[in-house]
Amino acid sequence: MVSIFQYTLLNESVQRLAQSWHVNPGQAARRIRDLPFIILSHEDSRGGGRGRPCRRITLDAEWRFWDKAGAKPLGKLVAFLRLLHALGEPFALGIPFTSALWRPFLHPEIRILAPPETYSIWVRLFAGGIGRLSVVVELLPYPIEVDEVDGLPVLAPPMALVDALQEFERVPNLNLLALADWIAHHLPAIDAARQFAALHGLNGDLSYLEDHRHRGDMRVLKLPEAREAHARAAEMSRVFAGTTFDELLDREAAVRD
Amino acid sequence: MNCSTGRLLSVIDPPPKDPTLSQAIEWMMNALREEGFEVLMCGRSALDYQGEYTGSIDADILIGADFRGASSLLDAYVSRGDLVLVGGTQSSVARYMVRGEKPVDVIDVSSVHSKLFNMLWRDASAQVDLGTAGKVPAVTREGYFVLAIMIGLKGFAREKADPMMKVREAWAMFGKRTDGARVNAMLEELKARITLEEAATNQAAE
Repeated sequence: MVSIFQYTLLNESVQRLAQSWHVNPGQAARRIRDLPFIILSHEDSRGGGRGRPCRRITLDAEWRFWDKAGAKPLGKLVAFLRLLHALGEPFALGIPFTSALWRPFLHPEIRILAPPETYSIWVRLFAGGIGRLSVVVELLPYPIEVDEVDGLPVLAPPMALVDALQEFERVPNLNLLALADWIAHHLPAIDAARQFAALHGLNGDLSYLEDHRHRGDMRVLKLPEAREAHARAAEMSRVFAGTTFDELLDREAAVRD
Repeated sequence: MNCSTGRLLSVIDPPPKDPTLSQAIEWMMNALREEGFEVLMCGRSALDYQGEYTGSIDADILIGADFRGASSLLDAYVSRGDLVLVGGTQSSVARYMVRGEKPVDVIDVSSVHSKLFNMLWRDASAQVDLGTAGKVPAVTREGYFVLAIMIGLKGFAREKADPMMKVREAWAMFGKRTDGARVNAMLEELKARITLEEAATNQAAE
């Protein structure tokens, strides 16, 4: 996988990036033109061929997503995330994108999980918010499985369950618990979540979601909320599953600038 | 024929095939407003259309008066195959699936408080652009809290183990941006004997 963010940290040349992508430097430059936080610089550069200075990939240190987000930040963010994913940047998305694994819903916090090498860039560019919507960047401690959903790299279900619990601790939206409950009951390979859950002290919560008779050492879950979430998961499961996350973006599109 | 009023119903064109959620809501709004029903978008999806990020995959519509008449109208569309009635859990909520796919709940709050709908319409709604449905009134954050508290006190949520759970959820998501004084004034007008803070922090009413 080619990480443009890592290339900016190393101040790599466009030529090197082009080699990684198996395209010519002109094509590589065109591909990253839609990323406003990447600058092609000519400073201190040698080796561009035929006497020309080579172009290097640099991060625009002043660029912040929230300065440019406007009245419809979610749609803009999704566009950037899709582009970065299409260009091979490694990252994973948690809530609310993981809700597409079940029945999509919106949530006021967006969780991006970034690998250690590029975590600081993600925080610099995208962390923050505008009151109604914010982005939280979390560390991806080790490479984990992602599913591609609507052109976005979304955490695979076992990790999505743990991510939903983590977010519930921050913003107690019961839809998050309903998602976690549904994943625990309906999707296989929950074992893959154990290491991730243990890392966040959520083993007890995970055990309860797997089997509601296990009620020891829960950190996030409380029984009345867990019961209500279970009921909500059952109710929502009766809704036709053909809705995409993009359809919820229509609601943002209706907001007046 | 409308069963409750005895007059002929005008029927609008069928909803688009494979409608998006927005198209489904627009179509339901058009169907109800065509017959002169006063309707308000409510619930979290209504807030999403006002710039919040809270909603789920369904949409909720409050009916101002004559819930039976609205049900009769929608029955005509059920017969034509535009809607599928999947049944409400309570008699005051009916869930319809537009084209059998997109869920829209139609809610009657007249039994909760006779003044509730008019108050929300007058004091706690904003116009949102809803495509082919044009400008549609949608309940604001303040209205959301009033509605959730009243339904918790006297409506269908009263039967739940924690009738104010939706209030607490909303409080965590957008309570800080809500005009609590306005919510409390509306609750007082409805003689609810509870404040937003009490409902959101789970202090018992009465």
